[in-house]
Amino acid sequence: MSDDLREGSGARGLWIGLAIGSPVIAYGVVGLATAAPVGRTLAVGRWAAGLLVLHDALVVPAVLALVYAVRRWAPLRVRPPLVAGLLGTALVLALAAPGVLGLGNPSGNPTVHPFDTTVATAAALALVWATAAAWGACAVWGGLSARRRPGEAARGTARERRRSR
Amino acid sequence: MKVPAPAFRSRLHDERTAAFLGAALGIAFVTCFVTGLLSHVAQDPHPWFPWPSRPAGLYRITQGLHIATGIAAIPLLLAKLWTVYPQLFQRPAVRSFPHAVERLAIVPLVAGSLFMLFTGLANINLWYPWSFNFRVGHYWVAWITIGALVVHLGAKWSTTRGALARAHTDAVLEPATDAALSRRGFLTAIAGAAAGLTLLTIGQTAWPLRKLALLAPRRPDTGPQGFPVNRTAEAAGVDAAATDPAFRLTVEGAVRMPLSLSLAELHALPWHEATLPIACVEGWSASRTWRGVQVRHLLALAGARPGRTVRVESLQQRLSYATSLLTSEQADDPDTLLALRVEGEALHLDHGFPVRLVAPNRPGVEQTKWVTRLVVT
Repeated sequence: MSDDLREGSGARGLWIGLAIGSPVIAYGVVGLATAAPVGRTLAVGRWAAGLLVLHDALVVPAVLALVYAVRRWAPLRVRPPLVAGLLGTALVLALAAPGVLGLGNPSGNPTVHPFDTTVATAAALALVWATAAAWGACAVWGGLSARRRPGEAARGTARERRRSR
Repeated sequence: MKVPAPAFRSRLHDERTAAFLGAALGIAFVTCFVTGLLSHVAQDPHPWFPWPSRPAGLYRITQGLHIATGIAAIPLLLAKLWTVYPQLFQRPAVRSFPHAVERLAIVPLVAGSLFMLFTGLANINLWYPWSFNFRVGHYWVAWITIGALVVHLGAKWSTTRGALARAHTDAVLEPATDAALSRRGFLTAIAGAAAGLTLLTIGQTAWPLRKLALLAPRRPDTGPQGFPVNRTAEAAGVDAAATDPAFRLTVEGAVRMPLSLSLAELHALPWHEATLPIACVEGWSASRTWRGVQVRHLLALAGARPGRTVRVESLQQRLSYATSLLTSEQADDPDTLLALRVEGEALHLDHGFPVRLVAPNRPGVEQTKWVTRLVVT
């Protein structure tokens, strides 16, 4: 990260941002504090802080561990589709979780999640992994093709050649 | 014991990656903020910004965009936070006063962003695991988040511009790496994830894509009479009152001749037909053809003065959204109906039988169901 805040333009931008943004923040804080009883306002703060801690202390370390495992054990060419597939899986599960786990909808409104959410989630995951598999197959095929053409392999891929110029 | 800071050498944590993701996320958040404000104004009209009754499908578009952009922002936000995560371990933690201010402003930005996307996602699933009112929390935290975003934009403006301008040289210098993903691969995967989530949810409002809405909580073609319900008659506690043969609709308040009409008398009035969407704040929408009595016709029968507003009251006694307000413009719109039929059938109880309000360009929660009283003010 550059230390441009010590230089003119970065610090000037910060102060301009602060001049515009801090009244907006204050408007939100005052609005929140006056719109609801103190206990409920504090609950908003607790949820926001809790989500921040959950993300920084649990989600990111878990992703780091997963990425480390992929780098450690997966072959180089299949890493991108594998990581993309895992990313897609996590997102699909996050979006589908309320429906699959039956969270919410306390009045039992039959038009909320009107279909079999497990089947729908499985279908979405199948789409994710079909895309990842196609990507992986292309990557492996590309590798095999390059191996069959020794000259090509020695020269590297087109992108690698561009980089080396 | 001194704990060493973890080393993050990947290109996925550099300024250029952060700049790309930040620009995309900034656009998404501003879109969500503006469309969210419009939804707020549509539910609580302000004298200085009366919500128009035309175009009829405007709210359907703004709220559909609000939810779709919020969903697409989930991978963008997580990717951006992943990219800048190493800065948590930056040493020294504070280098100068401006640097301290900048870092401090990141706390409401990140906490607010996570809060907004989590509560929004829970809301479209009607899941409320907290003690505060969703609308109050979501609305006011949006202001805090957007304010913090403005501070962050100011602080990062020159860095971001510089990082984006280094396009060509940076690509040439990028070394071969054994990282799980290159920067290009990472950004492509995130863009693909955002597009994929949109594709798998947008069908709740985009009719042609409804079969693909595998991750959307609603399907616009599923429910009583072929479209969803936000609150059932049972949940509203109106089953008995709505089916009572003694049901009457009254028009009262600032009128010369208060009306009290039985269902048969209401049916005997001139009917009008309009094709209008029910567009829910949770992002789903469905267009239907409604038939019923024009509100302006009823107001004329009751001798209401021009320029009046109308409070529409439901049979439901508890829960929110038991009443809604029609501005003068909305009440006078020829397509603002007290609907008695949809697609040629009597309304299903869950869709507001015997009478519901249907008007152009209104949030679904303001299309009051089980209407029993119009109060002219």
